[in-house]
Amino acid sequence: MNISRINLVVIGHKDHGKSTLIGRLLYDSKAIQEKKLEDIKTELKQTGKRKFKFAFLLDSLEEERKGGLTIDIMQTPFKSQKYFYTIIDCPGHKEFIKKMLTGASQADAAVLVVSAKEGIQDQTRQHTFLIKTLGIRQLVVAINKMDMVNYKESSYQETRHQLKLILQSLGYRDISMIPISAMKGDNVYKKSKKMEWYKGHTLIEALDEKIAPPLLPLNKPLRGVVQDVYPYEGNRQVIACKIESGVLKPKKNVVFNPSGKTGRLEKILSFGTIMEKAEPGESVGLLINDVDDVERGEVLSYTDNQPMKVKSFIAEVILFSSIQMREGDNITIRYGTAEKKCRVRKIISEIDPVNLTVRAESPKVLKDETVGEVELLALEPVCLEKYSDFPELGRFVIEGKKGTAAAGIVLEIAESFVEA
Amino acid sequence: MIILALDALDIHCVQKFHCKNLMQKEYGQTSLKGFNQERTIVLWASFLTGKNMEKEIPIKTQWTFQLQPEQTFLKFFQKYKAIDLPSFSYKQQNHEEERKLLKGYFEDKVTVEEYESLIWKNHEENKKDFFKELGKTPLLIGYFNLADAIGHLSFGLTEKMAIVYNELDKIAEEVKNSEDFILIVSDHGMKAVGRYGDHSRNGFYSLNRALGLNLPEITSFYNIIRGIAENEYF
Amino acid sequence: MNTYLQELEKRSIAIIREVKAQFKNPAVLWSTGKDSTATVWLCKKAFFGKIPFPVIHIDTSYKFPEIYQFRDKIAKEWDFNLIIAKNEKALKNGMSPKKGRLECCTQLKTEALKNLIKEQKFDALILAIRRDEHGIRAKERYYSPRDENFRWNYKDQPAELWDLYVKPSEDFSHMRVHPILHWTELDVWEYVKQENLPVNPLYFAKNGKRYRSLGCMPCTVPIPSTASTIDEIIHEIKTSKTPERAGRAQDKEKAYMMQKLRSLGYM
Repeated sequence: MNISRINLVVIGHKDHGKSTLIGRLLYDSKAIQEKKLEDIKTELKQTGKRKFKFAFLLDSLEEERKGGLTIDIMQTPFKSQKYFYTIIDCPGHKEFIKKMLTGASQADAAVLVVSAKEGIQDQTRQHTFLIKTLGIRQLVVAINKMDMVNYKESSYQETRHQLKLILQSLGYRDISMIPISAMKGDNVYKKSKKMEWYKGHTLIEALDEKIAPPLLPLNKPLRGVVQDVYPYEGNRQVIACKIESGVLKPKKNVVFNPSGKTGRLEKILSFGTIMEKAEPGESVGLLINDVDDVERGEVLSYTDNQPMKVKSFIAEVILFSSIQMREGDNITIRYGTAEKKCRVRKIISEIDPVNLTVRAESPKVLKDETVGEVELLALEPVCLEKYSDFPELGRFVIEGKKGTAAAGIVLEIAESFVEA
Repeated sequence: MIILALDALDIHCVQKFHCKNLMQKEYGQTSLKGFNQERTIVLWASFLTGKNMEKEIPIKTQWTFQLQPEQTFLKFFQKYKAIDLPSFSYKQQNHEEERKLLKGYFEDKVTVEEYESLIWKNHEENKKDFFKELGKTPLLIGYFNLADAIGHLSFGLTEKMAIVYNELDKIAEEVKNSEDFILIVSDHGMKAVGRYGDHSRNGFYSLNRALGLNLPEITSFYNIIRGIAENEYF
Repeated sequence: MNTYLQELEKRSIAIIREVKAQFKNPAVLWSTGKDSTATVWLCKKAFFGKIPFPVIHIDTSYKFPEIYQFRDKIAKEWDFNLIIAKNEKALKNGMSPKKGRLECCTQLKTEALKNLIKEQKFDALILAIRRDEHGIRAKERYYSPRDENFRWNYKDQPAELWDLYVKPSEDFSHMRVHPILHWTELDVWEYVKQENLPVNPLYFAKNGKRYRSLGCMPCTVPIPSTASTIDEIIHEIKTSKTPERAGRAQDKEKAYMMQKLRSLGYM
């Protein structure tokens, strides 16, 4: 039986104990017991630290995290009764917004770490807000540092209550919140002997119970993006296409949007071989009958489940430096392989991720390095999808003089072009 | 007398890359026993003074630590020239720049190529200065940090180190027949950490005469050099 | 067929196709070494046989004779549009490694390429750079824009977003693309073996030595080895202590090295 893999992202305010929790998860699950732990011990011995302690593991983690390196340790999966969990990111604050909106891998679930001692702080709210925007619906909360509040139930309840309000306002319901001490190991893997009043799950049990593995892109509707068209033997053309979701098989009718051109897929080619099927991530060549002049940027699908031809959509955008956005601006967006012109119809709000409030309602301009919610009008039909449904076709960048000026994800489709 | 002070030169590499000019009549390893850390400045200062200087040179101020000639074996020579010698005539600016780029590499702001580019540039400068003085003074000391600097980031890349050792061997070749007494010495050796190079506990030495040394410490050369200076030069 | 290599190949081919689609005048750099030969082969695959843009060989005139032979043979067999970049002026003025290794490389390699780019107005260059050769994380980008002096402004550059690369219109000379960034040295050899790609004989051991990379004759030093077939090379790499391993192990070593250098007072 194949054990499912879950990608986790660990979020929370600085110094609430994210690294400590990661270390504890890896240590207690014995994920790094064997060779890697030995390696760390050897490293530490060589730099003069004689006795290995759990804390040194953390030093090692912290050291590398400060440098922004992807560490070997973090890529190591740890096992529970049910799944293989991999922590794919634990972003430091400065990079967070950029990293989360532009992360290469999608997290399946998030663990929010909140310190019972310090309580809810700015980044607690900020990170939670951002993952919600990214469509990460699965969340488990670890109320940490219980050892520093004497394992008191009242501290836990207070933090829990405040958090509940915030989470509910974001649309998260029924979230497990576990009182833990990552430093001492209470309730992470091992049930705590110091919190008799707590009758619930440990963190790992809560993860196992609450988190379901993601839908494989294989099972989603077919979506492919046309990269290019090359000449092929005998006056024909081969369409270079990258599959983003679903499975493409030959001898089926396919359609390209937004042009609407349809044809029958005769063969799927890879240089030198003919393929039986094409799966997400593959870049293949397609020989299609009865279809001419397909262009780069078109989205491929089967005729029974086609993408909408979107006219306007609501997006969350993050502007990078030296770009501003005003209502009425004409912009060029890139999604998949398409490049389309849009206009900023309305700047709905500028969002302050710290307070979870709208910093400005209908501002006249979005300045650089800000996050905002906007309504964009497509000046030609675009085949964007909701980010939470199809991340690959739900995200786009906005072109600027120096390259990418802004990035965005589609929150809602507002209007679409309907066939007459 | 010519002394080639080649930072981090390691016997295993000298042998692996067949550096026939570095392997003079007598060659072997030096021992770093008595030193807790393998700090470049400390080791060269100890070489010059014949004493273990570790306690006297704090890490924070080590690069600018300065010895006076009277404290070193240089006092046994009427005339001498020491090029870029750590703790004595160290080219502060050049090496500070090198350390800056090294730091930049670990902060992911500087590439290996950029760092190496500077190292080679400074190396060529030292070579020029050294060969200009060749034959002009009774004692000429040339310090080259090529193996150490390149090695720190690329010791594990065999072909890069082959180029470095080849280069140092060529320098040794050029001084080969020009002097009575030639000492080639390094402060410590190097060992691989993946692609990187860490300091090791044994340096390298070679002499163009057989003195029958056995795993000498870097402080032992003081007396040897003194003896030769007093008996043969003046 | 090795599914791991297939994964590597997929990503590389997608990137190569994007280059052709997004840039008007791309070209691929070929040194006749194993990495760039594999890259050129990937280009052939991406475009179903014929590479629709030039293949550039930077000729310093100091290359091994085997390289010239190999180059001319393959260029013919694979039906390339081969362009040879040479800094004739510098060579006429007697440039050689004797004038300083660095100066020589700059004049005969970098300047030759710069001149060619200006002359032919290439706006994208495909290079066979691998992540495991370079320590710097920032260079671990598939796309890297350069200005006229081949410089790249680290600070101003936004993160590489979801393969949605936008060509800058300011301060931009050409884009460097690294389609085999995620391949290791071992991966390349395994691929060479699988695809039966032609290999320059210099890679194989003769008299106890072989070349691990093919630079210019005066400056390239062979390494001690007895590997005289691809299988033996693969075995040598797998069992050797020298790095060129997967990036992850390198990150740990980098962290260790940083600590150690700090303790020695370097940083």
